[in-house]
Amino acid sequence: MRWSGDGRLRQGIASMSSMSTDLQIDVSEQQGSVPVTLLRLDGPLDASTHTALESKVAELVEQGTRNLILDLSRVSYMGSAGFFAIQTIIKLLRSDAESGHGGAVEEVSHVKLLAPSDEVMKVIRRLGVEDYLDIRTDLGAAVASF
Amino acid sequence: MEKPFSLEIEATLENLKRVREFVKDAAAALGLPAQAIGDVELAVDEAVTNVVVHGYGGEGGRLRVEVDTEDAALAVYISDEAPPYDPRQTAAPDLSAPLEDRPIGGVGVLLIQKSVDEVRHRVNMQGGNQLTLIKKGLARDVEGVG
Repeated sequence: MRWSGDGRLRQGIASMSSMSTDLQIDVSEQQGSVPVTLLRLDGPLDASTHTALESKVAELVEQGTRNLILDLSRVSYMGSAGFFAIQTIIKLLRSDAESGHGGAVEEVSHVKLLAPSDEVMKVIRRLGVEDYLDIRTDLGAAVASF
Repeated sequence: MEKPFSLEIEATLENLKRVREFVKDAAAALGLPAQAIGDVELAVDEAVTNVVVHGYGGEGGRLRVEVDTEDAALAVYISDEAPPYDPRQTAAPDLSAPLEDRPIGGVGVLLIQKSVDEVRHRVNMQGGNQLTLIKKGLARDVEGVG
């Protein structure tokens, strides 16, 4: 392989930990039989943006969030990194439920996925994980399901 | 031989979006249908993410992405100067395991394999890798370019 344009390529090396602003995360509170936090995502959920989502959810859990809806209807792209972020969030809220019950396994899902875009559903289907996720199409029903 | 569409760019997570946009534009110009373009976008994103994260360990490095046709298929060539790595040798994840118990490794490679028709890998003579992703489905009247 022959490389051209030597020099320019070394400019602007970005840190792995820097966060992209491409993914917009809007947080709001919903009230069902229990408080529910709604996160609306807008933009790509890839290896450059997933940490922003994970950090936001960790911050919310720290502040007391126990039930979460991820609105994925405006996610323009999702790769495996995005899927892992969702998996991480599910684990985060599940483990919190366990600690509140003396270590007993809590089977109730605390994370619902709302109206995933076609791009998100493609990845979910290809990974064969539909049955492991709580996917809802309607916000009101999703809030009421907690 | 020069390919009709070529992008040289620093291998960083922040550049993933640019790489995806480049490949989508090239695939569209070469006549790939929209749904297939989404598949190529996903495969390229996963492959380049692997180069950035595993190949270069997040330190950055050279990346070249080229798009061309091979017969009636789209071909994307991803070249790097990272240590030799053939993603086809990565073990597939156990999709029968519970979501929470699945290992992270291999999921990106699985998505690549499910999104394109053929994956080829070679170690370049000067070192580094060239991964080729083949996606069938170009319109029949589109001839090879360049």
